[in-house]
Amino acid sequence: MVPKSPRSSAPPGTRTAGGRTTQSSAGPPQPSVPGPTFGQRVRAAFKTPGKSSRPPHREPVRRPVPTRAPHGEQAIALGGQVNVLVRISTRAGDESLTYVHEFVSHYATERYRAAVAESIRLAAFELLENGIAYASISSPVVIELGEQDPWVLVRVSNDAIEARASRLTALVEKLTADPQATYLEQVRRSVGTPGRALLGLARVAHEGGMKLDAKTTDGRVVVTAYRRS
Amino acid sequence: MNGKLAGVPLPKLETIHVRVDPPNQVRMSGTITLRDPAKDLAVFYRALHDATIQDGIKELCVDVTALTFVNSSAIRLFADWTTWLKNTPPAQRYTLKFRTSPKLTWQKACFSALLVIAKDVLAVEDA
Repeated sequence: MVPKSPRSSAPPGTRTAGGRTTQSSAGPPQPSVPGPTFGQRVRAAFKTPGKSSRPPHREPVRRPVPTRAPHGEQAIALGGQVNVLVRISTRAGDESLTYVHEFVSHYATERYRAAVAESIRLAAFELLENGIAYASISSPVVIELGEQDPWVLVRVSNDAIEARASRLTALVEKLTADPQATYLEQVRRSVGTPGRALLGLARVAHEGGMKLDAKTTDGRVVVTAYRRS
Repeated sequence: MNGKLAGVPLPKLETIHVRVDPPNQVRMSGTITLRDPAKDLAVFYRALHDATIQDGIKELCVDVTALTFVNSSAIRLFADWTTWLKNTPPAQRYTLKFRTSPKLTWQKACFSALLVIAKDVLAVEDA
């Protein structure tokens, strides 16, 4: 099964970081209406007295699963269906990382036991931070939280140059083979170096106990982190 | 001991609360999700490091039990701190002890790795 691109496969009515629905992307451009930012709306939703912080119920959306399963028996089964619970689209250069992370974290805390929620929280932050850091400004960065019994997954897609995608794939393979040793190696390597720490994927694999999968389709890289729910 | 530690300026960050309790306690709580926490936190850690040496303290205890989430850059700063300590002359060295929460997975994994890298200067204690 060839997965659709994140934009074209967006389930109708899915909320995006800009508050638009993905239905609008298929129609004519909508006029720009000034209003609260995404972060302000998320904060308001969590702070309104008497309003439950539980995200509104959405009908489950059936979506394609990752097409590659490098982890043998423990991988997500090929051909299975993923129930996407949350899907948020943002862009490189946006300041939305904190707000999106806050939203996904709250959702996970409401829905899963503490250890699973902590893994999701970590994966959502690190994968999204990577996506925002490496994507081009003009292209969406999409984060999804989904389930495929018995797995829960966080999936981030963004455009990426081929060299970056190759490095990513190599790192995922290394982390799959030995997450702990690779994590340690990455921590050692990060000491005293300027710029980004580049520990994100290693943290997701080792600290979060999540399996990783990376694939590239039509210039977009899709990184999936998943674990038993 | 001349009290330099008590005078270390605290970082002013929105999501993190830091308290220095002389003679040798530091408590950190909240989350660190800043894209570049080094700007504020590296300066703070370095000031703590220098003050601890100047005060002649032999063990600095950093309580992170209420530090619920940090990003990769923040972990790198902890690693940098252990490197400064390893590069300090033995006579001036102190033990950097982190008090951690066993309930937080990131702490277990992160500080176990740091122990491997800097076991001669680092101690980790579960709360």
